[in-house]
Amino acid sequence: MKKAVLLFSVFILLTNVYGQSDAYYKNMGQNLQKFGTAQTIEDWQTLANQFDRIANVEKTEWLPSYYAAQSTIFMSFQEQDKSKVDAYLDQAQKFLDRAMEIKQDESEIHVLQGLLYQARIGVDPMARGQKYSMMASSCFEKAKELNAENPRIYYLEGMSVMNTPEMFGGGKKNALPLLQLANEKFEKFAPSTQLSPNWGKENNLEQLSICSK
Amino acid sequence: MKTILFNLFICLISVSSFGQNFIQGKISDNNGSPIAGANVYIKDTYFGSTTDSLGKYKFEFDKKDSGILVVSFIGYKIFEQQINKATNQTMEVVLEESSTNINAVTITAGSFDASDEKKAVTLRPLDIATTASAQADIYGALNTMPGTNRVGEEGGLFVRGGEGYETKTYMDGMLVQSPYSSTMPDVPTRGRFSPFLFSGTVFSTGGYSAEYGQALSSALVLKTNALPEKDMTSIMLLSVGGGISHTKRWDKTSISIDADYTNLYPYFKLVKQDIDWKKAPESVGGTIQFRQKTSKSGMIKSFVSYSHDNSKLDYLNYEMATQQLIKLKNDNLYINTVYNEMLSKNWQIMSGVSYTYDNEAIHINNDQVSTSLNDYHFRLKLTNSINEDINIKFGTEVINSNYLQNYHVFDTDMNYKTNFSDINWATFAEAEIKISSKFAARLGGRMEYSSLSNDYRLVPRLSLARKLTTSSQVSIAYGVFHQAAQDDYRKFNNELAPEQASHYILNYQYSKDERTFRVEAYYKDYNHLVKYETLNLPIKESYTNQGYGYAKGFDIFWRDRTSIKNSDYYISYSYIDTKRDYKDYPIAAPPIYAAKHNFSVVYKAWIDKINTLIGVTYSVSSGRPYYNPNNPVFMSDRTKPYQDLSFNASHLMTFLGKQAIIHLSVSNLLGFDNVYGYSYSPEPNQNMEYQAYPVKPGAKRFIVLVFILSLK
Repeated sequence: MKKAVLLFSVFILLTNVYGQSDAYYKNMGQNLQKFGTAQTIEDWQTLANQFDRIANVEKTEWLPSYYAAQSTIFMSFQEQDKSKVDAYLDQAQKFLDRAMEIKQDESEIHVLQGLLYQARIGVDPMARGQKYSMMASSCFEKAKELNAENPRIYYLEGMSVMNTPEMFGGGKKNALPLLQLANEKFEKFAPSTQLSPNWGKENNLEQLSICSK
Repeated sequence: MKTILFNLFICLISVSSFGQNFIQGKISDNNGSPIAGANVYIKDTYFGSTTDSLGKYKFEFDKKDSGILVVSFIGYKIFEQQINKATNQTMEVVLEESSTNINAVTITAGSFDASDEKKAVTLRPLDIATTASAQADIYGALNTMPGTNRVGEEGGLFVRGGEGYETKTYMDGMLVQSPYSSTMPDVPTRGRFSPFLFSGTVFSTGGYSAEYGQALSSALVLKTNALPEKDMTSIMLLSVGGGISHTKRWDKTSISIDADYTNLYPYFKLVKQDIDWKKAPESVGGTIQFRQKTSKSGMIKSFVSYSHDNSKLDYLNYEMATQQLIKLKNDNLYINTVYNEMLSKNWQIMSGVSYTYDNEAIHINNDQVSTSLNDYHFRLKLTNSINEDINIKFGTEVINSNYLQNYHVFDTDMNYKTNFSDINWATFAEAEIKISSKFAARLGGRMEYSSLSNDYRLVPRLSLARKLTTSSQVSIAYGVFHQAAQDDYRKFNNELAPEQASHYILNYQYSKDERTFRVEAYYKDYNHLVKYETLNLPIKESYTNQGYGYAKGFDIFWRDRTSIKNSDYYISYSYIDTKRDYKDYPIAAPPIYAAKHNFSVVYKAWIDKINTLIGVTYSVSSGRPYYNPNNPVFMSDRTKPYQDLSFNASHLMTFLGKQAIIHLSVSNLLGFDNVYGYSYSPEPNQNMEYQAYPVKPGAKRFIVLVFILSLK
């Protein structure tokens, strides 16, 4: 009987441990699949909520907070009411800070921080353009230091150049080399785990074809 | 053995299915409207859901006992509540708006908040540089805001019936004792600092926080830029001078150095001036800014600025019926260092010290007046955010002023020395409370003591704001403000008490989709203003605190940044009715700077095709009061209305592969013949009439061409 109780406790323990991490992988995996199809504000809000819930349970994992931040930034891109965008981005910043606290030297987090700064520009390009584009480029520098092979750095840099007026060294022509470099890196890139960030390749190809015309 | 395990297994399965719970309900806001997209979940579990478009949610959870239900949504306070295991629970939750919600109530009475980060900003740093009539002067740009009176022959900020000196400038919380450059009679002054040094501007036209003292009418709070992102070098060439600046950024440190030189000589050669300049204004100066991050949340900022100005002119002093050769030399040094740090999650400390040295040497013919100021300002402030709704701050500050003037009279070879030293000590405390998402209050008090006049004052400050709808609110503010008597009077009578003003403000603001409308009515009661028989009479008793006055009126402001594509415009109008019995006035009368009606339209448009931002400002003010000795009724004459149409354009371009800006600014494009007031001869002529001489600008127009090149 004692043996049975012991076996039973081991069984419970095992199911708990595996159960928990199973739930993590299962939930993360399910939500990441929805990333490809999310389009509306509601879609992104739902995803951000789900990742936030995971982050609240898995307090040592940076990925749930990272994806919560990313979903919230993507949600802000869909928002037409400019006065709301900053509130979304404030929320995204909170998620990102949480991710940063867990893993400071993660290239991907710095890339996302750069994207968040780029998103801030949209609210008031005239007043914010210079400040936030410089802040974003500092983030990309930092991300390169940590992992120069991260293709998303070059993709976002390319996008930034594309959105800069031609007379300031921007435009399609000048963005092309960066997007091509990003594409090369995307080809070689393999996420370190199944759940690791692996987005941007298709969008990069899309932009690449626009710029190549 | 096997059976036991099997039984236990069955048991486990049934326990988990018995434990299956559902929870459902609806999430709404204070007004009963559903909140879609809210995150509803059981704390520390995977169980949760997002509300649908009707604010409804439903999810299952098998927490065996109970759990904490959490509801969160952007702009609302997080809701948490313990729930029990009863199945099919229904939980209806009403979320409270958080104070960070863009629709939350804010205290707006009296102030124009203009930091880049704020949502409904009214005036941003870039706006200052691109306001057509401002000529890149902070004070010039603020003169297009409601509540100000343009005083063309002096410059500076005259707010709601107050003199220019009643506006005080603060940089990162530290007092700037001489924010304006020294100038000649009838030549307007400018701010010493470039608008590009600052990331935020709060312009308060009354009723401001207990944190600020020594300003009767208005506080201009400037916040300098944080750590610059990158190394930068830029060169600026002006039609009247030039400058160079360089910024170096390390990981946690940055230094910016800036040097400027201006000389109006070539310009005055080209454009004829009505002023007989013997030496056109020349200025050389520079600033150094140092930033050091001391921790994740801590920062030391240091700022040093130095300038040397000199000029000479032949001045026809009609009031004294003499010709004066005036020579002016000014040296100004300003240093401030501020330290900010979060002591804990809720406590924040700010401490700072500033030093102003200003020396002005004026020669009038052969006489010489040299005036020097040595002022220190120390400040310590603690802020505690008790929770999201209650914020308290308190602190103390000391201003030590040392004034010395030496007047050398050539004919008699006599020296007259006047001087004083004052220690002004103040403590303040203030609480800002969000009573609900619709109602906020700010209550504070300030105590001041002056060692020179041996005078204690305890004054209240109060603001309340009430949200009416999501886009409109009303606020009221009340406060009593003190300011030490001006140096020119205290040097003769250093027992003069501080001057006093009480402000009563009622404000309505409507803000939606980048459109802002605000109207503010006010009443100001002035007391203890300095009165004297004759200016510069060195008799102590002739300066008293018996002056008084009032100002009442309303200001209207409308800004629209969306209706016209790529354009931004604002309209301001102020009405003021004010009288004072101060200085050498025989009765209470409107002061010379107070035009009853002031109206401005500021328009800016970005023209994409030519990469150019253009700005136009049109201003008109009704006639200003002036004293006419031929008229027995004091100050009952009015000048003709003042009008100005200014234009500027900033063209972005590349020059030798670098970013560059060409900027052109022209004031009074249409050449209105403006008169600021009149001077009169001291004696009547044969017809027993005093001869009038108009006070006018030195030239009808002022044109500046600027070229800025950034060498990254």
